[in-house]
Amino acid sequence: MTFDIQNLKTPNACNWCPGCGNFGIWTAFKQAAEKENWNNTNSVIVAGIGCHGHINNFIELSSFEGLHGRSLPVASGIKMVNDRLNVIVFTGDGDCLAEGGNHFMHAARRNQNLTVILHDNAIYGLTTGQTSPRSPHGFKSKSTPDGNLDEPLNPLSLALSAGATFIARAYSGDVPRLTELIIQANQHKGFSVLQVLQPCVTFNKLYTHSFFQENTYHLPADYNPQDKKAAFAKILEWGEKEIPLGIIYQEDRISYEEQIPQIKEAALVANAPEKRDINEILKHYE
Amino acid sequence: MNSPKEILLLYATNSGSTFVSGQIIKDVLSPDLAVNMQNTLEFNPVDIKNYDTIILGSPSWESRGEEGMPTETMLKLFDVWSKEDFSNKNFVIYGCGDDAYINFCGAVDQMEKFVNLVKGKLIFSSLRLNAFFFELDKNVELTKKWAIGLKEKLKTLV
Repeated sequence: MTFDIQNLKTPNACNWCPGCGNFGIWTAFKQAAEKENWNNTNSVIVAGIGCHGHINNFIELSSFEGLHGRSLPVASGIKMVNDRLNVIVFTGDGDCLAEGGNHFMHAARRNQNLTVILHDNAIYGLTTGQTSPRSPHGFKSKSTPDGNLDEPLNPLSLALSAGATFIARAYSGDVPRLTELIIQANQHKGFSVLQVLQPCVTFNKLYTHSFFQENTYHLPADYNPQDKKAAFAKILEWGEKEIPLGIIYQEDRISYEEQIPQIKEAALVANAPEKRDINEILKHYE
Repeated sequence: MNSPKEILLLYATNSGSTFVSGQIIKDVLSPDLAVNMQNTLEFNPVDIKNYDTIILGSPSWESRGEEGMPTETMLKLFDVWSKEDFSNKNFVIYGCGDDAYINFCGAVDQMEKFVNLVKGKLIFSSLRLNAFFFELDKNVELTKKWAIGLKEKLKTLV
């Protein structure tokens, strides 16, 4: 069998809008989970607030959702307590780059072994369509009816300059390639950022499925993702038929966890705290 | 009718439902029948010459100013093939849609029209899936059942 869509099924039916890009991400993640045998004994998912965050309700894995923009600190804490766990973060462009922008930068430079799947629909969809840090200049929405005055943030140039060691981009409608990129991002030892271009079919009439199908291209086989300068140039490409997809940058660098000797032999959670008799100390101050 | 050699399953997809239902169809047909599953985004139109039996799948969207149409990627292939004579080819059609819209699975109707235009043979009743991801269990079963029927039909052509 190619893939069982009912794998990791929960009692909750998906409630995204018909045609939403989140379905592609959800499907690809479940395919990746099936291929890699991610389950409740080895994996945990963390999501922030936004349409993307509903994904926790539709995947039967241990999960945490809550606090807008704080998916990365929670994931970071989980990883520190049990670095043997496979920790995957779902976050949106608002959640990750506005409310959670500070966390994103520092998680990247720390190079913790986390996989970040950034659902990028360039709008706040859950709150019915407000301009986000990814919305382009001039973009009209309920919050910017006369057009957005700000320039959009580029999450991948931010991630690269901050120190992320795996940077990739995918389109949500291409499930097979997205599946492979999720797996590769997860296999990378370090901070992985996978930006997924996913249309908000209800509130963003600019970045549609057709837009991404017509304007994206796949990086050629001879592209070298270890060339940081070339990666910067590639990341800055954005325009008509000029949006690159694939692994843009990858660097082999020691992860945060690998530098902590206390968790080398066993995860922190496996080391029971040492019980100490504090009576002697108390007596000392009597 | 022509006997199926390798079957082409040519799908267009946006949210992934036509892809997933295509995978289910392929799984049911395989391994008894060889199926090559291809995305319309990357399919070279001249390669259709390699196939006698083609399964077309598309969701229904607004394309070219009309609601209930196949995706633009499918329509572009139809543009290339519109003057061809496919009277030597078998066609099967499936599609995903949502009956909250007036033209439910309008893309299926459009693909059937295209097959008639190029004189292809529609050899099996088309599959129309409603709200695929929202009623997943029901739609998975429906797709499997339809694909089992299709497999029996295709075996009679061998």
